[in-house]
Amino acid sequence: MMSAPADPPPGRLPGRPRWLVVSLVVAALSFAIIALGTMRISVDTSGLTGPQVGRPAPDFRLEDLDGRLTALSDLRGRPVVVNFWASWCIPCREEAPLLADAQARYAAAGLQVLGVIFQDDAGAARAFMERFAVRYPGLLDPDGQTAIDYGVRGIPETFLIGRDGTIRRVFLGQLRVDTFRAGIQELL
Amino acid sequence: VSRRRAVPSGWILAVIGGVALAIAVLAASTGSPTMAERARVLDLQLRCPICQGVSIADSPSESAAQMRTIVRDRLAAGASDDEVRAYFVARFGTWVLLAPPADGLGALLWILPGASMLAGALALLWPARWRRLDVVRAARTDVDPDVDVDPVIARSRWPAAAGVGLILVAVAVPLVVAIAPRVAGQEISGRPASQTLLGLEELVSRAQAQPDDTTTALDLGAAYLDAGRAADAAEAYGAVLQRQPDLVEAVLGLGVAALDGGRPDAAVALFDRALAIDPTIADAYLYRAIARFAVEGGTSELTRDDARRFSAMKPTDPRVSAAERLAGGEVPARPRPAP
Repeated sequence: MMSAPADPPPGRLPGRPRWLVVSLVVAALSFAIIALGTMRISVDTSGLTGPQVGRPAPDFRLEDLDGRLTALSDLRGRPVVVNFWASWCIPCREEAPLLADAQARYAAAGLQVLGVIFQDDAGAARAFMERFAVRYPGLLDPDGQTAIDYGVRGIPETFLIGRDGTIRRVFLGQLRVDTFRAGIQELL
Repeated sequence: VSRRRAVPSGWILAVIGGVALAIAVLAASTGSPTMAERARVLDLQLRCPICQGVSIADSPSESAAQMRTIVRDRLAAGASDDEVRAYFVARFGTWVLLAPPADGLGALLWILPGASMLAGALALLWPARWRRLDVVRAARTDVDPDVDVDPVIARSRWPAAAGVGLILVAVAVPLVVAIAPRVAGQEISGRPASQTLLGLEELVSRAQAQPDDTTTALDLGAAYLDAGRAADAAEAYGAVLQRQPDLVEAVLGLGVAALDGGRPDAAVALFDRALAIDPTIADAYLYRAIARFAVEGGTSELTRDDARRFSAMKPTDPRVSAAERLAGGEVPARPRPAP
């Protein structure tokens, strides 16, 4: 196909073949440009990116572990945190105290935290809520429709919803104290 | 170098193009697919949201099964394939489509690799004839020795260089796009471990040289704790807190120093403060349980809750057995942090 880079012909100064250098530089540059482009997206942990941000939060009407119904639309006018979790998810356990703390700290300001239990056993979910002193509802999503409506890509995933029912921030993965609290401050 | 030798390669290209066209026409003209076939095709196009780069057709997960059910329900309700895709794109974004959309930036992903591959192949094949011409031209220098041959030979390699470069681009683009989201998904949250390999003396001299360096001061505090010098540790952490009163690592360290220094009541208050700053610090629950055990002289409900919370948050931590013993009412010793 292509000619092998032969030894420099007599009369030519020996050195690195120019064609090889050029093709490697072209490939490396294009690789770097694309990699940088995708990197820029990945370092954002503010929760302000994501297809759901700025859209109306999909409504749901779900039962908690004790059979009590909760509808998101009933909470219109209040800031709401919707957190998808499961007892088998380790990051969910690590962030559970932060959510319980937020519910306790900002309840007076009207904040309501709602947990949506994702593919979990009811008994294990109940034990989890007792262990982490979770005082907000743990809602069952038996056919997974709510998780699909919210475009949940993995758990934990947490949605901050404003008083007008619009999704303001989406946190993928374990919550960070700083960005989570900053997001809540904006909702209040 | 006759014209006749160049013709067959043109024919080969024409035949390949013709066959590809025929296949495309045949594929397009076969009868309209059944609903099950449409569902199967859609399954293969939709990304399983909780998996890694697998379609919902290929994943045994519950989420994928739920999405397959939705695909079939919507087709049965009369939705078109585009409407089914739009249903999922509205919820997950275009990310849910395993094949990126062929418009906007997505179009570039489709066109760039193919175009560069084709251009690269042409650049590699085409100059074969040019090179032969160059050789002929170079041979003429035998007649006229004053003609410089080298630039001719060097120039003949440029198209090949471009070809290699373009083919590398064609391979690199889809590769990066495929790998990048996975790397992004592996982002690990957590605070940096302040483990250091420096010895205590070295840390002391560093801290003296740079008294305002927080990292060094925190490392020094940890080193004092390891050496059993609780009072010195408390001083190191206290100095940090003078500058940054809400630095949770320093509050936690000061609490451990108070615990080791025989002041469990002060330690409980410090762990409370650490957890008010950041409720996700698992260590603070464990140490608060130990301190409270010392204050109360036994395992209370609060102590048990804290110990069990630590075990739940850090199930693989070597200190879990100590936490479980504490929850069971055994006298605890302060377990060393995980190495």
